[in-house]
Amino acid sequence: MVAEARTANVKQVVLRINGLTKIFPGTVAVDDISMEFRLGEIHGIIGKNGAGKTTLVSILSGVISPSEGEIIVDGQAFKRLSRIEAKKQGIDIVIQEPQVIPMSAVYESLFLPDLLLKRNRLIDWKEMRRQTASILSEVGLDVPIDARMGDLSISLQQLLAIIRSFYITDSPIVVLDESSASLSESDRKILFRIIRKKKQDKAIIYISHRTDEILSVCDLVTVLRDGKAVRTELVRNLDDNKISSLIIGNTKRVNFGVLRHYEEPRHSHDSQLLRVTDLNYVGKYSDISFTVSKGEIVGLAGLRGSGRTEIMKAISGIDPPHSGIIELQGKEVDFQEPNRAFANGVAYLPEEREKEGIIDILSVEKNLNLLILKKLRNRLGFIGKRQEERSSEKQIQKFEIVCVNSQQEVKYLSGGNKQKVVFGKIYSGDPILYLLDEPTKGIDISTKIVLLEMIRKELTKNAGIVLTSPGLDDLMKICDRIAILFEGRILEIVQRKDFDEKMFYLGIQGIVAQSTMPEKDE
Amino acid sequence: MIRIKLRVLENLIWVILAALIIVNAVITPCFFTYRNLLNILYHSAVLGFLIIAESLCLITGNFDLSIESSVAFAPAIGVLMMMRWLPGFNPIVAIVLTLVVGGTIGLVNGILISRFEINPFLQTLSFLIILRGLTYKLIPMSIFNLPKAFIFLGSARVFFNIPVAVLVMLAGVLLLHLMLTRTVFGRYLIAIGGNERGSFISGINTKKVITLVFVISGVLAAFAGILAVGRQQSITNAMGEGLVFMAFAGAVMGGVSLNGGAGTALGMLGGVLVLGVIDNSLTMLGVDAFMVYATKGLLIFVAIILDNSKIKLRERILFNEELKKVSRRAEHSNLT
Repeated sequence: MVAEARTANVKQVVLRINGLTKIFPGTVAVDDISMEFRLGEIHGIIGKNGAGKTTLVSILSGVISPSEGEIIVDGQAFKRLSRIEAKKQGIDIVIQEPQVIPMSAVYESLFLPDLLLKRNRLIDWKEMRRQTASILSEVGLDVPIDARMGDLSISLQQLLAIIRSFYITDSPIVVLDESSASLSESDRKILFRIIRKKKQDKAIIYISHRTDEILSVCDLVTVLRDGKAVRTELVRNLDDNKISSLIIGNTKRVNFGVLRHYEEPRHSHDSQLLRVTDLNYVGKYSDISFTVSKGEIVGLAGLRGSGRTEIMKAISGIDPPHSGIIELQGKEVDFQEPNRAFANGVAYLPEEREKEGIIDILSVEKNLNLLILKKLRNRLGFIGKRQEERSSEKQIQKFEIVCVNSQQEVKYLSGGNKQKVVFGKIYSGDPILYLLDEPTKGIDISTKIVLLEMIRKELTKNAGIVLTSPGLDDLMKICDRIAILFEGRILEIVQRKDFDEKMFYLGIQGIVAQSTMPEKDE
Repeated sequence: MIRIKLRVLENLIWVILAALIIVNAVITPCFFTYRNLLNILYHSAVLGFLIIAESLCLITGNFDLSIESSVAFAPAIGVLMMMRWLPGFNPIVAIVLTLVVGGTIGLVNGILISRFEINPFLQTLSFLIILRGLTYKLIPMSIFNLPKAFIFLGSARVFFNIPVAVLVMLAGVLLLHLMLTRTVFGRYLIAIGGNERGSFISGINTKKVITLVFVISGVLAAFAGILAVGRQQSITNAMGEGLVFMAFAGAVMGGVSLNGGAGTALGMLGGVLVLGVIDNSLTMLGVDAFMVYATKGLLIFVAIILDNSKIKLRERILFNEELKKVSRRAEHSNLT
C-alpha cells in the first residue's frame, strides 16, 4: 500500500511488522497490523486513545509480546522481542514520562548508564562534560551542564531524554512515544530541529495525537483506529480535516449510533448546583468558569496537562486553587481538604484507581462502607455488623460487582470491578456533586457500558456531575454539555445539540476550525 | 480445609504459644504452676501496653520509638510532683498528670509527623533521646516510698492472688479489640495503613487520625510507666530501656504488618505472651542474662521472617484454592 503511494522507492527498510496482533481479555488492542519503516523517514502514527498506539509501541520496545505476527529487524524475524533484544537490535524508545535521577547532573545523566571511562577505568568526567557542552550547543539548548536533573522542568527532562537517544544512544530506529506532549513550545521547536537534522540515517517512529505536529514533522503517517491500521498516507496528501476524518472514522455511526444511554436531561437551569468563577492556578489553569445544574453532566474534554484533572482536584479540596470562587448551591465554599468537600456532598472519583481509589488489602465490604461508617453505628456507638452487611450488599447488587463475597479483598478483583467498588463507595455517601475523573480508564467495554449507563441514569437522579474521559466517545455519549480545555483554558462550552467529534478532536489541540464551530448563543 | 489453613496462619502466634507452653511444661521445672503462669502474665503487663501502643502506630504505617522513654519520663513528672515539687500532691491527680504528659509528647510527635511531614523515625528517635536525657537529669537516683494509690495499679493483687495489672492488661486488649473491629476510628486506622493517599482522597481526615494515634500511643506508654513504677514500687531512670525493640518484635509476631494496614488485638496479646513465656522459661532454666538478651534478638529475627513468609504463604494457599476451583468448574462443565 505504501510502496504504491511512493514515487521513488530507494530507501532501505530496516523494520517491518507483519500481521501483528495483540489480544487482551475482552478486547483486541492491536488487530493484524503490518507496517514498514525506512531509514531516513519520519513515520507518524496517530489515533485516538485506545486506538492501539501504546500497545503497538510496547510490542516494538519489548515490554509486551504479541499474540500473533512477527517483527522483522534488518531481515531477521522475531516472534517476540524482549526488552534487551529490542535494544540489541537497535530499537530505542523515548517513553512518555521521562525517568530521571533527580540528583544527577545534566552531563552525567546524558551518559547513564554507560558512563565514559578513561584508560584506567575511572570515570572520565572531563570528556563527558566536553561532549555534553558541544551537543547542547549544537542543538541550541541553553541549559547549564552542571544543573541537577531534578531541578529542571518536565519539559527539559523530556528534551534531554530525546537528546540522549539521538546523540548518545544513537540507535538506527527511534520510537518517540508522545514525546512532545510534555514539551514546552520552545523545546518542541528544538525537538523538531533535532529530528530533521538526524533523520538521514535513522528510521524515526513518531507517535502523537496532535494532527498539526504529524503534518508538519512526518513524511508519512499511519492512522490507527480500533486496533487496525486504517490507512498509511504521505503527509503531503493530507490536511487537518482529512486526517481527523480518518482518525475519527464514520462520524455518524460513532456519534449517534450508541446513544441509547442518553435521555433528555432532567435538570432545569434554576436549580444551579455548582458555579465556578475565574478559577486560577499558576502554571496549571486560568480563568476557569462554568456551572453545573442538578441532574446535568458536564464533560471536561482536554489532553493530559490541559487542566482537566487539576480543576477537579481544585473543587474537591485536594489541591485548592490560587484564586477564584467556587459556589455550591449558591453558597461560597473553600475546601482546603477532601474531607471537608466530602462532608459537604462533593465526591471525587480519582483518576488513579489503584493509588487513590481503593484500599486494596481491605475487603470489598470495608471499602464500600469506608465513608459512611458513622451512619452504620448502632446505639452503643459501634459499627453494626448487620448494618454493614446490608449496606455493602446493596452496593454490590446495584453496581453488579463481581466478587466471591463481600469479604474478598479488593486486590483480587478485576480493574472494572475495582472501579465499581470505588463508585459504590462514593455513591453510598449520597453526594450532591460527583467529580468523576476518567471513570472509564482502563476498563473493558462491557463494564464501561454498565458504568456509563449508571452515571447517566442513577447518579444524575440527585446530583450534578463533572466528568472527564480518556476518549471523546464516552463524553459525547452521556454529557449534556462539554467544555473544551486547551492549555489550562476553556475554549468553548458546547451544548449537546452541537456536539461534533471532529470539532472536539481539533479543539482539544487548540485548533479552532471555523467551519465546524457552532455559533454562540449571544 | 482451606479455611482451617488460613485460620492457622492468621493465628500462628497462638500455635507457637501453645507449643512453647507444652515444651516448657515438660522441660522447665516449676513452669506449669498457677503461680508461675500468673507471674508471666504479671511481668507481661508493661510490655503489653507498649506493644499495643506500637501496634497502633504500625497499623497506620507509622511508628513511635519515643514510647520507650515516655515509660520513664511521664511517671517521673508525676512522681516528682508528689515527692519533691509539691509534697502532698494527690496521687490520683499525679496519675492523671502522668497520662497527660504522655499524651502531650504524643501530640507533639503526631502534629510534627502528620502536619509537617517529618519522618516518623527521625522525629520519634530524637524524642527517645531527649526524654531519656531529661529523665536522667530529673531522677539521678531512684525514688522509693511512693504513695499507695500511685502504685496500686502496678502492685496490688485481688481475688485468687491475681495482680490488678493483669486484669487491666486484659481489659486493655478487649477495648483495643472493640476499637479495631467495631469503631469508626479503628477502621480509619486500618484504612490509612492500607493506603494513606487513598484514604485522604476519599475524604478521611488522615492528619487528625494520625495525630490521635500518636496521642494514644503516648498515653499508653505513660500508663505502662505507671504499671512499671507500681511493680518495682519505685522509679528509676533506666526504666523501659531497650523495651521498644521488644515492642516491635511482639507486635510483628502478633501479626501486625510493618507495611501497615494489618493487626488484631488478639494477635498482639499472643505476641506479648510468647515474649513473656520465653523470658520466663529462659530465666527459670538458669540461662545467663546475656544469652537471654541474645535469644530475644534471635526472636526478632524470626519475627521478621515470619512476617514475610506469612503473606506469601497466604497468597499461595489462596492461589491453589483458585486453581482447584477453576479445574472443578472445568470438570463440571465437561460432565454437563
